[in-house]
Amino acid sequence: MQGAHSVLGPASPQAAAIAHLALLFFALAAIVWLLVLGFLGYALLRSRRLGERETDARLTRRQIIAVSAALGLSTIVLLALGFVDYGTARDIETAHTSSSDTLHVRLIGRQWWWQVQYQQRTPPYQVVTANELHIPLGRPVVLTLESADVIHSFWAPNLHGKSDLIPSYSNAFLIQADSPGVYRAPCAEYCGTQHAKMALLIVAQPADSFAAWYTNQLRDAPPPAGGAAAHGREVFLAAACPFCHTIRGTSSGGNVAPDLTHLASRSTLAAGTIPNHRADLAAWIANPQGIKPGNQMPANLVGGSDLNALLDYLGTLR
Amino acid sequence: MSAPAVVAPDTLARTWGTRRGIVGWLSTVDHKNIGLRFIVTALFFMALGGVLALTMRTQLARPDNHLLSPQLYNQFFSVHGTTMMFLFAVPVMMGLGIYLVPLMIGTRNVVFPRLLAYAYWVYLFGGLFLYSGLLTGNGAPAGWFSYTPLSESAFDPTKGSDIWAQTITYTEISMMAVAVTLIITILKQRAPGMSLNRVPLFVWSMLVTSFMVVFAMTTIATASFFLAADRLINTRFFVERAGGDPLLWQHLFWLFGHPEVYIIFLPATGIVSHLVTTFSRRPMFGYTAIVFATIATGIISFGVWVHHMFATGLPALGLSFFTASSLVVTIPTAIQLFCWIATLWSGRPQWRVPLLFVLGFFFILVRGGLTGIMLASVPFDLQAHDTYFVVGHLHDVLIGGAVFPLMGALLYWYPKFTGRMPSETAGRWAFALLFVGQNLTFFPMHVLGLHGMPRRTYTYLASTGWGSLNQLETIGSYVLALGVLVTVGNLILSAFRGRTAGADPWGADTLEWATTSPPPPGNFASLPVVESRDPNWDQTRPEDRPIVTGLPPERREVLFTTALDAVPARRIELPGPTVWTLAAAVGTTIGLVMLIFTPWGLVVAALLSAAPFIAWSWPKVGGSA
Repeated sequence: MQGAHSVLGPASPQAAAIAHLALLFFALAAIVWLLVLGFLGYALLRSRRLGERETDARLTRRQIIAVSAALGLSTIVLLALGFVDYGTARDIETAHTSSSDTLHVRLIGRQWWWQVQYQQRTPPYQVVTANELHIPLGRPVVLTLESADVIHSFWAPNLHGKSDLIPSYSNAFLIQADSPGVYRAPCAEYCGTQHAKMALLIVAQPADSFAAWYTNQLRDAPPPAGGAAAHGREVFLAAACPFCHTIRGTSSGGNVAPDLTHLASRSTLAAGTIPNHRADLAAWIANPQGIKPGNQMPANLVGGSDLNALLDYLGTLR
Repeated sequence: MSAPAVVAPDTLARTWGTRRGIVGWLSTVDHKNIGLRFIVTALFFMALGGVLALTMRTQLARPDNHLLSPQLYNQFFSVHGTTMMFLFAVPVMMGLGIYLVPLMIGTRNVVFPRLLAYAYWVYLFGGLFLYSGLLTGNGAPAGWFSYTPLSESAFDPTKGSDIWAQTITYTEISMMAVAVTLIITILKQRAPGMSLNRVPLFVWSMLVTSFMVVFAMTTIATASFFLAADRLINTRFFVERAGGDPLLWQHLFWLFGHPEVYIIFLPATGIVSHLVTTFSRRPMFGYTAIVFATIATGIISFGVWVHHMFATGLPALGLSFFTASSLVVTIPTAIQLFCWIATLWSGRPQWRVPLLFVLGFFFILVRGGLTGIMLASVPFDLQAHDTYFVVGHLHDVLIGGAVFPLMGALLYWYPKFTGRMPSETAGRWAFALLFVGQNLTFFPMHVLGLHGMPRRTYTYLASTGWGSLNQLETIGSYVLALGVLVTVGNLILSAFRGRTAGADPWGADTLEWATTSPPPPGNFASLPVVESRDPNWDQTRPEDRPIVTGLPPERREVLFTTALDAVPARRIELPGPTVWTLAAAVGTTIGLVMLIFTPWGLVVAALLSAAPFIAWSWPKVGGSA
């Protein structure tokens, strides 16, 4: 997953513009830093061996000239930086105007996971998922950023800078991915106990595989034909799970925890904390507080064959 | 007036001295005692904040570490930040000002010595209160910035945020009291002849800083009062469900928070000016430019706060104003940097330890300033904001920009504090360790930030690839801690083992070096009259310099001079030692602690503080207060 969250590995026009600006800043800063230290070193090594209380009008004049020149140069550099900065900001603003092509997604920050709601104009199509945002390559995506509790911040370094999710506010933020990949977006505003383990994965994929993913996400979860998985479904519905979680196609309807309708299609659990393998899922269900202390999911008493059946069932939710 | 020109030292000691024993210790109003107490207490809190930081660095040394639980880690970084900003950096600079300002301007004590004593006790109790919270599992959990709604009762049901808000109240009271004392002392008690254009640069920086404290602390006082009220009596200033606004908190906090950075930095620039002057043995080049730069920094710093809020979705046009002001605020600092270099260039630098700290200051502060300029850019900041890049930047400007000059200052004025010289060898070792440690700890943070590591995270996954740089930083933090230990050891041992210093061991230019080390009660055997900007470098022999006469030595009288030209205007009598200041601080403390449980605490605080306040202002029979 290395490089999946780097400012200097841009995968979008916005991030590329900022990376470009950053490299310019670094180069200029290095030059200015060396100049100041060089000036200081020169001053210390070549300093005048004057008498302690002697004054020297010529020296004072040279001091005035040197300081004024340095100050003038600094002002010019600052002005130049200001212009380059405004230019970059404007490029980012005007690079994309949202078109009919634009995908609209509502992203809701919650302690400590991400709720993803695709906003389709034609009901009843609405895809709801969690902690994983799929986007088609090359298409602008407008995120509507909201929070259900405290302030969070959306930040996919490879795609763009940050935008906060603030309760009672709604920030629109445009992103786009031009290269395929899985980009990691860690929450970037301190939001409480598990701020550290609150990442959103952004899967940027070609239009056709995105469409296939999207179509699949629209489906409700079918009841398993039988066997352990069918039993697992009953375990799910009989335990406390449906109070918080939803699996569409069942009677569950909780809305305060991730939607599990297509759980098995996601690559991580607990907001990018652990991989979504059967053993990890079992550990998570048995002891979520051990893996992500302080999170909102209570420990479950499901064990033994019931747990195996539940895992079988959850494994069918592709 | 018929008082003798030169006052017998024992008369002065009788008049200005502190009583013996425990009562004397508790009742002192001597600015030198109080100033040193602020400094020592602030260093003690720095050590506590440092231990928290080392524990956090150890936790982060490898991925998925389990040394600290997330709850504890979050309390640690919240208390670490609160400690370093409110309990260490500002008080230590203020303490230095309290000690040095009266000596530098040639007076016997500050104008409100009892208020100053009260300020110290309130500060001490406030700091202990914060740590009592941490020890009882009620450490502030919402960061040193306590963003709402995370710090509201809905998300923090503990007493942590109440204790945080109240600690801020303590430091507000204390720092405001110090600030008004310093402002009036500087404007009204300067030695005759010390017109504003002859005021030492450290005193100038303390004057500007104190004005900033008055304005900035008013803002945070409002904010922390609103927060405490939201939590205690269910007001809804920041609660969005009831029509409040969580962003209001951020505006109020940063309108204080950014000037706060300069409240820490400006005294450090004053220190650097003195170290540069003394060790290059030249008067400061560009004195007037530096004074105006200091004032300009103070003013502009109140207009940059939104650069902490670029990601909140405010309108772009508004943001661009704050980009511009954040770029402009660097210009006065650049002026100062260039003037210092020009001064060093004109002189003969003496390679004593305090000057090494100035070089370290240049090396690190310039880097931090340059990364600060980058953060003024909205697009760049949107990437770097709330990442380790900012952690690196802020520790560059605060450690490089303030702690390095502070270390230099402690060694430079140490002979004045104690009468003995600090060890040069230990000083060089400490410098080397601090310099290597600082760079090793904080430079890699910039890289980590650019590679996606967010701030305020108690751990990270191994798959992020952040492990090795974090390990390096942890090693660096140990080196840094070793440097602090060597410094503290040097400061303690040299008090017993150091060479006797004499009045002026460095051959410096300002008035504090014109009196014995340590200065006697009342500071000067006879009060000086100033005829130049560097009075101690005047060609006249010290015994030929003019002095102030006409103040009765058996009373605590000082000379008030005019604010601009320091022309003698009138005599005033200052109050003497009293334990009522401590009683008042205890009353304030009891009330403020109660206030986290019940609104009646406010009444208790008022009543319990009022009685001692009245007692301490009660006029003495015979007209002397």
